[in-house]
Amino acid sequence: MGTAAEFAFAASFATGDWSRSSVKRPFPFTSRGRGRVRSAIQDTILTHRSGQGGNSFRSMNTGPSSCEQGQDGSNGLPTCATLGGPTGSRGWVRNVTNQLQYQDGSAVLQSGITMADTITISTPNGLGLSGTSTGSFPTTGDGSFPDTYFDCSKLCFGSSSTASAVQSWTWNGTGLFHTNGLVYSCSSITIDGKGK
Amino acid sequence: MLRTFFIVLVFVRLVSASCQPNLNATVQTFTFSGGSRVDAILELGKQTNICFGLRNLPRSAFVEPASFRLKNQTARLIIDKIFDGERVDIKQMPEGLVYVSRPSKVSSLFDYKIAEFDIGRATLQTTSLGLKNRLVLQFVPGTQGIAGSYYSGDQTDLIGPFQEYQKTITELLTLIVSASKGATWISAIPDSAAVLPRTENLWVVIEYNRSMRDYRSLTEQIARNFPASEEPK
Repeated sequence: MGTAAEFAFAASFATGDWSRSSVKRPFPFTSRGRGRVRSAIQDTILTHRSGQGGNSFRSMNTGPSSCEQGQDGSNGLPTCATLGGPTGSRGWVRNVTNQLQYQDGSAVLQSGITMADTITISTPNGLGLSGTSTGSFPTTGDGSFPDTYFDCSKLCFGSSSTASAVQSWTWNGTGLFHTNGLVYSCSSITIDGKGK
Repeated sequence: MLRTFFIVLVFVRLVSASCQPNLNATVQTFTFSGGSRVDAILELGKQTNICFGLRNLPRSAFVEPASFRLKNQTARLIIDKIFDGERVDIKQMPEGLVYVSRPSKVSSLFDYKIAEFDIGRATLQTTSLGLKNRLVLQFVPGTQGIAGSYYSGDQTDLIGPFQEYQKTITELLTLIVSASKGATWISAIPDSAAVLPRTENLWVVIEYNRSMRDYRSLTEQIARNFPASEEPK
């Protein structure tokens, strides 16, 4: 294992610089890597530049003014209606760009790695979330991939409630050690306590 | 005035659909290696901008290596050659998409009808997610909220709006993919497994805006997750 073969995640918003922060916790396990993605993985983390990002359905001038059923995101911005949320639901969407990195902070410069996530709702669940949708994200040549978080709830009318969730990741089907703590609310989505 | 505007809107929507290929047009060169038949179809789709719907394919189509070096063949003939030996039906839908499916006697969620698919203009991937969530909500009507994360894809590939009633999942996927700049939808599990209570990860939509090689690990994963009972006989 002479090469730096551990992964770390870093994430930034599309307009920002890469944020390279990693937590090093020894947790080696065998992976089925290929190319530069091989050997062992030790730890991953998703970090985000605090104070940036987050697209409010209510504040964007060019988009819909709220996330209400039937509204048309004419410029392509997702709404709770287009996302298939329950009738009358509102919520929040947040776009981030993630990057797959080795533990030393260098990017995994390989396109076509399939990143996939699983999100499990935990407690508290003040938004009444009962279903989660996740997807697959192919990396680009610099190891990055976009990710759009969303929540839509009928309880989002003046509610300050939140819902917690745990997000876990795989790369090409192999699990990563680090999981992310998500907190969904009607006006923010934080990832490991960061972002809005 | 309003009527004229509406007609213009309808016209724009019709002409913006890019999956109206001439399958009899000659493809000068089609070369493919290092992947499966599904990967070959994705390459052909990107090269010729033919949209595909791939449903209930045998596992072999995802896992067995294939290679092609064809010159001066029609797209139709290339498609036939890619699936040569596979028991699949191939037909071009009125929307333009080429639909490839293995016959099945099992009624699956791909045949399930969505009561109302009323969705605004959005990216192809967002619309696909909206369809998934509508399917879930139709089975759990009392749901108060949903959440998640997803790949929103090509931000310039906007489709819709759509207002459809009592259409099956297959019909709606055909509709939205046909309206895109170019993409393929693939059922990620065979029909026999696409039954309740499972409603997650039924399909993927792959857009043609980047190299199809980037999706080979994804198609490999689909193959790995195919139920063993679906091995070709």
